[in-house]
Amino acid sequence: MNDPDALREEFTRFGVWLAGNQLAATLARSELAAAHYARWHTRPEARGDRFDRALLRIAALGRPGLVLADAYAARFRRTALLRRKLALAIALIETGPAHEVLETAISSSAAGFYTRTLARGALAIGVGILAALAIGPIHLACRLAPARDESAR
Amino acid sequence: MSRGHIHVVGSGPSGVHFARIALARGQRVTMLDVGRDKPASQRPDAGFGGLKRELDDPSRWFLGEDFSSFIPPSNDRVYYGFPPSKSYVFEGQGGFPWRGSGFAPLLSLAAGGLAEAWTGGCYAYNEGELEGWPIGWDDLAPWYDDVAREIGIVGADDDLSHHYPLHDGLLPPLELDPNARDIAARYARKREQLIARYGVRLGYSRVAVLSQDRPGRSACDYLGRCLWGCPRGSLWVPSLMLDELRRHPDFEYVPDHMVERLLTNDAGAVQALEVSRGQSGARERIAVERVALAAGTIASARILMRSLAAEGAGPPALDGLMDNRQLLMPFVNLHQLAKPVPEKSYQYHQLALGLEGESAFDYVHVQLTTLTTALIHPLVQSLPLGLRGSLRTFRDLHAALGMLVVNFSDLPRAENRLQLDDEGHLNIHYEPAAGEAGRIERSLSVFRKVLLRLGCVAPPNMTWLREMGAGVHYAGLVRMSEDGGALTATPECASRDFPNVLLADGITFPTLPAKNLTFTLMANASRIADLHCA
Repeated sequence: MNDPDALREEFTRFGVWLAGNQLAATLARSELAAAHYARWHTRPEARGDRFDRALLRIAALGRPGLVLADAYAARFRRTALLRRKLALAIALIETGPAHEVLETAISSSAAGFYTRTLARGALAIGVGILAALAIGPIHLACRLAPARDESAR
Repeated sequence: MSRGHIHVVGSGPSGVHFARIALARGQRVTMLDVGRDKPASQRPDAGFGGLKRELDDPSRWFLGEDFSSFIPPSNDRVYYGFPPSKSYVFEGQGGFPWRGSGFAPLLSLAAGGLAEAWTGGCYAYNEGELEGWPIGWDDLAPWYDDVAREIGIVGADDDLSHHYPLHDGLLPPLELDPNARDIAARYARKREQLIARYGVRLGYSRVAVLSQDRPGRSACDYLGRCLWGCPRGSLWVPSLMLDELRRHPDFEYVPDHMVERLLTNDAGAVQALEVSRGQSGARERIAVERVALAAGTIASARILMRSLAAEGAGPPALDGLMDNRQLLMPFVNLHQLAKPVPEKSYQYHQLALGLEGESAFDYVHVQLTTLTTALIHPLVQSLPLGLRGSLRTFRDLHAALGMLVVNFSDLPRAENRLQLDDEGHLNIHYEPAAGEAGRIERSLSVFRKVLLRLGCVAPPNMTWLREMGAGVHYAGLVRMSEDGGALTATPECASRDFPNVLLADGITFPTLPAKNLTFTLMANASRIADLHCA
């Protein structure tokens, strides 16, 4: 998917999901950052394999798909194209006028941090299991597919 | 000595200080250099956040036209990308072909050399660390004083004076940011226990930055742009001194000249330099009376090796290459969780730690940074959650993060060598000392415990042992000694192979203590300029 308009829309969607709804209007107006996002996709590291494409299709299914795809990639495919795109979105937000959002603490105290981190960890385990069940077979199929092609020849 | 003319090769810390003293002693100085210029500073009064709001295209400035500072998720541990504004320092990687085996050097063709991208650490070697050198503290002390007065070094007479000799020109330290202040306060309460049980002392870093205005340079204004290039000249870099030298009537700066080799007469004295110029690599000869090589240890070694090879003087190889093994140990200060990230703070090492060894040479040198203006995306993606969860966790951690930059000493060993092959490639081979892993693990174990007592936690599996060469403290290869033969230097750093050549950079260091070597490079270059030009 290298259509510039689709990539711009993807940047906004990823950015809002990562940094919060308060960035929705800012990112939608952020032509320059979106243009950089699209420009990065002409680079070799923006290419992915069959599983990368599958993961992106899952991430495009809406918020639940994105949550599962991100959780799966964090555990089983840390260099996934999806993670590269999400990291790029963070990089573009942190280097642009909206950077302050990322520099503000979410918790108001250390106790709040510990509570949130525990909750986040528990959630990550739950979502990770779901993601492994839902996406693991797709990952396996993508890995086996080339071998099947070769044996068919 | 009568007024003479000396050609200095290279404009790094050694080159500019050698030239400064040579000029002060009445010599004419010509400096030959490739001399890539740094780009102009953007919005010199804007802070780190201000740049993001005020630049026309901040993402391009921070990440680079080619996204060179965007660090995508990878299997390597990379915690920061090098700023595009400093990429000129490493462009061209020395301008000659090399192959590394166990060693990946950083080389520079920039005006000012590698130190244009340094972090300013200035730590004098003490008498114990100079053991095995043909010179002692008394030889270097006046020049530590002189260099410190010249460039300005912040620091304090605190617990670290046990490891760092005091010298003149020490300016009051900069203000600590809340994270560093918290760690320093906790140390003050537990210092006796930490010193007695672990042999660890903590204090202010000694850094070449101004805490007071001086002519032509402003005191640090805490813009938070250190990593991106100080726009106020507060952090000293060699190009600042080069600018001053260029105003001297007896100084000539000749950029776009890369010295390839020394050309000798029948008596073995150097009578000319062969230089290559620009993209074309066109060769020229420049007649010389005397030469001070200050191109940096590896580049100077290459010039010597090519010269010796052309003379038919044995196999073109030099041994004893040294660098400080460096290790990065991220930590979280549990007392700074969920605190605001300070908008304005000095970004490089505000504090330092010293770990006592069995001998002065076994001392382990640590600088502590609470860098808050590095790009965050490389750190966010290193957390074990999905990127959304990692980002949210990181926002609470940001003000609490810090990093220990740990340096270990090195000794010259025959297996660590530079060799020129038939194709003109420089082959660099390095093998760590036996027992290095144990030494590192013992030190890390101490630092983990000390951090805990300071209210900090070093997350497991995030310590990054950098490959050799990343320390960028290269030394050795033509070491100074009282008595030596070919491929050594006199205690005054005169080459024993070429009678009118001085070796003004780290190539003559007999050993490499753990402390950052640049202060000693500058002091030693000044010392030998004084000895040979007086």
